[in-house]
Amino acid sequence: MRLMKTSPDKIRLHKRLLTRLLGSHILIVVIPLFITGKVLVETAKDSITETILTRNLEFASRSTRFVDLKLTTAGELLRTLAQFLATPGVTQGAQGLTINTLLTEFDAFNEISLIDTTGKILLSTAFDDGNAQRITSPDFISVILDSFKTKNRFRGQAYTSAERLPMLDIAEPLLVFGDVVGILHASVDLKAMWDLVEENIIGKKGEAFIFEDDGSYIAHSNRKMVYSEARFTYTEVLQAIQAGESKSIIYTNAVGVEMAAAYAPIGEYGWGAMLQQPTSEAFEPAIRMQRRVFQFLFLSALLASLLAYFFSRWLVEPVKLLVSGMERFSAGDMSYRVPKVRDDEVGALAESFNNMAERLIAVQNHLKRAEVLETLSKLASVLSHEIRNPLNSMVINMQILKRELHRDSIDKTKVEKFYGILEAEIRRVDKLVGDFLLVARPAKIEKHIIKINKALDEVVMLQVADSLNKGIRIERLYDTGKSVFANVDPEKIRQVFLNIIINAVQAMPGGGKLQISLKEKTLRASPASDSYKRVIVISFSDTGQGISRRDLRKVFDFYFSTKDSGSGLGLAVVQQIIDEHQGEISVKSAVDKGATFTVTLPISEPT
Amino acid sequence: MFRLLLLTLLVLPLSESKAQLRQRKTVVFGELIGRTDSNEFKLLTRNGVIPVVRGAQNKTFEIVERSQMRIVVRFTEQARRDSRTPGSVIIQFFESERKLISALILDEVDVAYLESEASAFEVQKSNNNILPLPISADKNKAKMVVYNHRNPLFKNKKQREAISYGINHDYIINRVLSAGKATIARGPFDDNSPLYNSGMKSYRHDPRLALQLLGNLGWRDKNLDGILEKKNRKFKFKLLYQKGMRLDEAISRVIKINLIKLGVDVQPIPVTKREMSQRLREGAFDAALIEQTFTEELASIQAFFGRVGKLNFMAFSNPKLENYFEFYQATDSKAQKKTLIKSMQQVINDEQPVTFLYFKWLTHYLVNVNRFENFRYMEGLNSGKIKPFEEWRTKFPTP
Repeated sequence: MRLMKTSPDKIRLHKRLLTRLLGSHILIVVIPLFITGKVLVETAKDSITETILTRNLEFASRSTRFVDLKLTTAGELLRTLAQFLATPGVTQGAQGLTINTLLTEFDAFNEISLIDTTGKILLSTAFDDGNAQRITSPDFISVILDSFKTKNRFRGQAYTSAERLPMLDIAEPLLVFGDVVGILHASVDLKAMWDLVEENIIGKKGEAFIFEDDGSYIAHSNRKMVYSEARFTYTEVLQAIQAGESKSIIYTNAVGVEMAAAYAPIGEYGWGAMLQQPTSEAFEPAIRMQRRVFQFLFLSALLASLLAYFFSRWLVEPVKLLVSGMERFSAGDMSYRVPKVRDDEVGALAESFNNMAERLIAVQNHLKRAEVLETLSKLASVLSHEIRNPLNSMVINMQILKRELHRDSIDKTKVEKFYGILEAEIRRVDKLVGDFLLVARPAKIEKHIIKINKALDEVVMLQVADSLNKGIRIERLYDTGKSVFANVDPEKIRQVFLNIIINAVQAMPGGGKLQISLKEKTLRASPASDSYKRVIVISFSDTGQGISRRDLRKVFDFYFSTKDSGSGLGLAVVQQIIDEHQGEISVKSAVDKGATFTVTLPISEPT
Repeated sequence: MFRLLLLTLLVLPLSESKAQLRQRKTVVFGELIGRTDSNEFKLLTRNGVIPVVRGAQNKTFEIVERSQMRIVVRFTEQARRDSRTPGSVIIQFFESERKLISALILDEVDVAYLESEASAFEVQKSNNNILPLPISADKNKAKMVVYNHRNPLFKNKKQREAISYGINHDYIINRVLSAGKATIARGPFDDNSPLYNSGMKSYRHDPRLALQLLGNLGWRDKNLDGILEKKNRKFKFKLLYQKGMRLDEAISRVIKINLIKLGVDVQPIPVTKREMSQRLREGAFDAALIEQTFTEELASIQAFFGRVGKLNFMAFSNPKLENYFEFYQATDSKAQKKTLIKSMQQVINDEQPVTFLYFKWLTHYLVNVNRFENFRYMEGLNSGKIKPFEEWRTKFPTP
């Protein structure tokens, strides 16, 4: 059951594969989709922007034509009236009737007055008690008369009346035989143009206004702007109007709102008409389209991603199963076979894996048999060699002993000597058998949590005196200042340490130094894992003759020894014990450069 | 020193906000000097309509500032209902309706009364804060041209009739009043009144008849200057109208245009309400464009057209009418009284002591709804009418 549990590595692999598949999908589908959408939207937006700006300019031009027409009409009416009033025989009653009727019927006129060339008001639509003699300022009359000389008419500057309304003075000469005999003056109420302006407002938030060369508003769709005598301050537009230019622009107004605007000059007055609309409203269709396209793109991308996710999962799930199967197989469950869930490439892969597993098991069985035969052969060879030698020695010594016993005078000293040899040879055979049994039938391990550094110290202390006699100095370099615990069989671990130390001592016949280091480390649980484990790393570095590269691979093999007196079981036993403790042992060495044996054991918490 | 500075800094914004609060709690009422004499201004209160100057001794308000163009009254603690009751009313007088309109548009005035519908809608169009409240005009409130019967020009009934025929009532109603929301007036009562005499002549615009009437009386344009004359006297007169009122100025101009076509030279003269009252009282006028509300009772007609009527500044007198007044007082019969009232209207219609122009249906109050609420009655007899200022509620805080 534990093997079926999904390991973090598998999850990581699964996620990585999913991520890569989804990433590929985004690169291949979503990004081009968004780029295409963006290009389409921008193209449409440019087109809409151009259309709107052109429309605004047309509206602005139309406004200026309307205003100009209104003012021109006022001028023409006044000219016609002037011609009528200058006609001989027109009675004062008819004059009064005409100017008052014109004032009533044409809303642009605020007041019409007939003035003589000295400035005396002869007739006016302005009502007063009639007792005060009304005189127009001589300077004003002079300006009007000068204007008549050059233009045959007068057009003044716009001004604000006492009622805070924009006004304009215009005048026409009363000519009799070409001589100016009077002035027909009219103040034009520019408020009459306000409705014209309002008719040209674009959208709900649009504005339309007419301004003078100094920016004063003559008409504004927000009438308060005129009453409060506010001014338009965008210098660039004011200058352009003075230069007679018409243009569409996008600019940010004084309160920070971006406006799509168009302006055009009005006739000869130096005034400008401007129409503007917040871009948020003007380009609302483009913005709406952009929003919709992006919504569509987003939904498409989302849908495509969802489909891609499920498709990727569909693809990855069998792979996950395959990986899981491989892991179970590699963990030793040689009987496990990946189920063939689909009849496609992944299914074929699963089938291939199962076939491979079958072949691998066959090869492994074959190798095992070969290894057993090799081991038996080697064992036979060693045993025959190791047992035959003492047996030969024993036979020879027994023959010598037999001859000696048949002598008349038995030399006891010789007899004891040959007995001693026989006993030694028997003991040698016995040890050989004992060592063999140690490897072939190892004792059951009994684990306890012990202090590893203490166990190491005990072994080292036993060997210090003997080592010193052989000119070898043992140094201990422990990184950790505290005790390190491990769950081990104490005797067997001591055996490991002893074997390695004895091995090192034997490798330094001429003396030297054995450096033993101990440190704690944190390592990945496995190379592809995200989990970590804590271990004790104990290194034994000697300054001995070293091990050749060829021998290095075999140092942990049974019955491999470079020494004449070695059984070839010491390091093999060491590895066996370390394996039993889920530890690791490794060796690094080169000829004449010493050797370093490194033992790694898992750390345990003290009980 | 530092503490004092800190205290000043803390108190200053508070005192400013209180000042702003006071400002918000003041109602600015815009009025025209042509329509109302500041000395005669009356304030509508919960205790009735109180003349501000003459009725200064009252429990509702006190005058804190007074000039020709501005009166400031403060409500007494007793009059204030709560913290949202306006604390004071500023009555600001304007020379012209245009200036009043500008002030309304610029939020300098909170409430005003405008007769002209066009003006009311112009304000609304320019300032969203201002709401025009159309309210029914007073019943039997007649716009008319009154003549000074001391003036020989108006002594002759036929001459008065000619002038009435010369004035284009329809044009005034349909073009000057712009929306035409008025009824042609034939007498003191409008045609909805139970006392209205439907047999009266309409005096619809008939310049040909008017010229004929004047010609029959010997009026000729002898020197061909366009003005009629008779016995070396030109047919010209001055027409007083309420200064600054667009409607009155426009009607005066129409009358001038209408009558000049007959050869009658009319010189409209704008006067303040005070001057108008004074000149009418003193008889120092030729003709005047005024508005008068008639109640449906004898006293109202008698006061205006009776020989000794308090409001008969025209010096009009008619024996037949005087007899009717006597008969009316002598009888107890309601039916007879009604007949007599109708007969009086007939006499007035025949005599044309005044030229009745129209009865307006609607008039407009304009109120800044961004600053005030609860300013009009929503139900009952006064539904739609403006409430006394003590009933108003300030909306605050408002930006």
